[in-house]
Amino acid sequence: MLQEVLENEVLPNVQRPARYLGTEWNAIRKNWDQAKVRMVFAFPDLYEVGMSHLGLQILYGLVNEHSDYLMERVFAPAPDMEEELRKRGLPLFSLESWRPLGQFDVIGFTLQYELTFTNILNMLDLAGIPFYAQERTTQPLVIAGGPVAFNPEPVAAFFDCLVIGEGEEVLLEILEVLKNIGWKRTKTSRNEVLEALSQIPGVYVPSFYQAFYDEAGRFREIQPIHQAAPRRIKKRVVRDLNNTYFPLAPLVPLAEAVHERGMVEVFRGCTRGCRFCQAGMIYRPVRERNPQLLLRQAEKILKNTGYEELSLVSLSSLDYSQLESLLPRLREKCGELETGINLPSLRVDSFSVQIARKLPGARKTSLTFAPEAGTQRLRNVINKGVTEKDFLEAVRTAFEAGWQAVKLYFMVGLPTETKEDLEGIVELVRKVKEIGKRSSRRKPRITISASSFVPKAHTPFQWEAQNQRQVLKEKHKFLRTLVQKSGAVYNWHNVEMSFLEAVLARGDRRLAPVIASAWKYGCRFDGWTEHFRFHFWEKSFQEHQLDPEFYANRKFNYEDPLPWDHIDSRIAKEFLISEHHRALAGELTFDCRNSRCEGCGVCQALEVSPLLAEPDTKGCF
Amino acid sequence: MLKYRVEYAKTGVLRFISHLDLVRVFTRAVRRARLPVAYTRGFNPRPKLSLGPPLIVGVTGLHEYLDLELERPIPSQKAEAQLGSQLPEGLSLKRIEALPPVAPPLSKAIDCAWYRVLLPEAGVAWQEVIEQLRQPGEWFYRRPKDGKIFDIKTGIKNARISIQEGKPVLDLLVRVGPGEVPLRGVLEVLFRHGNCWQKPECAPVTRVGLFREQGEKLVTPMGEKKNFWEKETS
Repeated sequence: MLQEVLENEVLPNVQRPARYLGTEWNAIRKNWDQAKVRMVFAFPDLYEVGMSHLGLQILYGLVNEHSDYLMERVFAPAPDMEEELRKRGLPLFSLESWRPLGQFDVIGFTLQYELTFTNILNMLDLAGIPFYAQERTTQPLVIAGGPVAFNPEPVAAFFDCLVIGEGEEVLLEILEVLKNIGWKRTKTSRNEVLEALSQIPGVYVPSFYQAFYDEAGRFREIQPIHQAAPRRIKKRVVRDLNNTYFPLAPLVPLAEAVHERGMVEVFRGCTRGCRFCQAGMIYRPVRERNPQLLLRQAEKILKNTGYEELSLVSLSSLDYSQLESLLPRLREKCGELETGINLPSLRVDSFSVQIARKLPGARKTSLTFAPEAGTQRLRNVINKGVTEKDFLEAVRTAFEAGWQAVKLYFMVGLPTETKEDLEGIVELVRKVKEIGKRSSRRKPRITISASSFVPKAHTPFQWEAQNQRQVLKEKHKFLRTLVQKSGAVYNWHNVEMSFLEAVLARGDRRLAPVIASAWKYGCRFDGWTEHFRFHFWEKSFQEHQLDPEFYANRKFNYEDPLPWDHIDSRIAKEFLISEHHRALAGELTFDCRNSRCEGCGVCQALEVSPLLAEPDTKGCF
Repeated sequence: MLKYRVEYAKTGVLRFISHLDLVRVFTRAVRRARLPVAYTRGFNPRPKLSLGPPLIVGVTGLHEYLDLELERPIPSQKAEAQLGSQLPEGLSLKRIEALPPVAPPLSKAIDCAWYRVLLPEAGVAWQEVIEQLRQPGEWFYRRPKDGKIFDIKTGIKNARISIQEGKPVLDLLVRVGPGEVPLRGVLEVLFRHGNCWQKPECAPVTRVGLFREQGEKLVTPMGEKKNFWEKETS
């Protein structure tokens, strides 16, 4: 019935219906009745975004490898699809079997970005599932994971449980608990399930905790109110990427996705230690894959997908310790298969550019660098170990190698930033332009892409205030004028969006009803400028008598209890404090990958050590 | 270069992928199939393949075509087996034939398309609409995206209504290439003249075949001759 209506009435009336078909190459459609636990992976953004996400491909392949489990997919429906579903009273459906979401045992959302929260509620609403976990009885278990789960509090009330850390470790354990208990979709069974789940390390069951606030409205503490609940939830990590699951036959998108390429993950974690960067803290320690394995995986992935490009994925792939042994062989293999190689994150030095120019299929259109700040002083504050000399050398190499355009990422509103730091950005742009004129025949194109600093949980800057919106806007305007005068393009990220991101990133449980109100007023796709409705958010904060600036623009003290203190990233708070001190003093902290241990505490807590790839001693991979 | 012509069908929910999506699907299928396909030169070498006239999103195609250039000859049967196993559900390979070097490209081998539309029943006098269509006088369609005006009658070579399993079925032979009128426009205007309240987007449409008109006959890009309205074999 649903299938017929979708095919005959709904799909002919929406844009890009290819988003909803579920018949991609390498899609897995399992027998529904034979599966003991059925889960749907829910990506709270458009198909094009979600299908580019490695985490989806990993979990999809991993779960479906097991004969007892089944995993299907669903993405946030585009506004026109939502309208078609609502006017016919149809439920949101999974792609593989076009089944209503309510029929699954588990719905698992990934939390990649704070501004997808209203999409999560919208998807739950379209599935006919109550927003608040406490109100659910016979409905599926709604769980979540991903980096944003490291401060889950603003959305904690919406989930039955959350996974802290790397999902491929924990998800199978969750499904196994459900299988063994025989999850019966009753309120009693639900409580039994949650109790069992709370015993899995890395699983957070929010309803087993209560948050307290003082008279001034400040967060005071969060306490377990269930005897089974651990005081702190410790993040889980994969110990060794060399013997963990990796998808060798990933789904190939039907509707064109943001990135369409084969992905090999060269390592996880990054210890460069940029002090604003949450990923650099929560994904520690560094764990590299061996080059032989990467080469074998790359070949299989390319053969199984037919992709024209292979991407070496990680937080900073140029830091891979065996890069120089891997790349020549990869180039050879990709040459045989007529495939290009892509390195998504370039380091700011000429070595990187030299590597990039030798990659097959390198379109010399534009090269991107992220100096992040305009002066050496501020780059030291954020621990971005980039010198002006390195940067200008990289740019020169790029222009000489034939690139005609560079794109530069900067962050505005960083702690301790002054007018000189902003002028420093303009000065850098001028120098880049000079170099471009000298080393390239054509006039170089320079694009500045500026974001606003967002303090994130579990980083050395988690205590810092975000600049007031008005201040950020003035800074962007100031920069735009000067940058444009020097003949470069200035793009900047919507300030209200960065503000809301900061509010939600450091928020507590009181924000859940605010998010629900914003959804009720019609907020969807808040991360998309064309859909973002800030006034609805303002209205929602007013409705619940909460001041968003209290969350975004307030400096926290080290003694202040933080709403995410019970989420244990395994990084010692003392390390974050010491890093914050060093930031203010402009002192650098080095990468422990090739220097001494800086004492972040992760290795001790996890009883691991950073795992670098083994060099290829036999020379025969 | 050795040219091969591939005949395939695009059916099921795969009819909802766009022409550009289809190009990507075939490019990757050809690469997975490890056919000795020729690549374009330049920084981003792509397999040399060219698809026939685009199908509108949502329209099923029973006899569709694409041309491939291969580096080395390969028996048709082998090529069929290799490519056939790499196509996603909804794309089915019918056959692959080697083309003589002088064979005209698809754009020259096709000048008309046969569409079959399942019409809504609701008491519309479709026969009268078709008779009016044959009378002189222009039936205009204005394309929304650019405001271009078409006279749909100039794009229709032939039309016929029949009843199949108790339901009215419209067969249309329309121009492809020079003088082509967008199919959406043709259907919209026909539905308007039939005072049909239903949106043409929801009427199931199938492209039965693609041809070049040769006198009284229709010739497929594979060289078979058919009589007009000959019962299609699919």
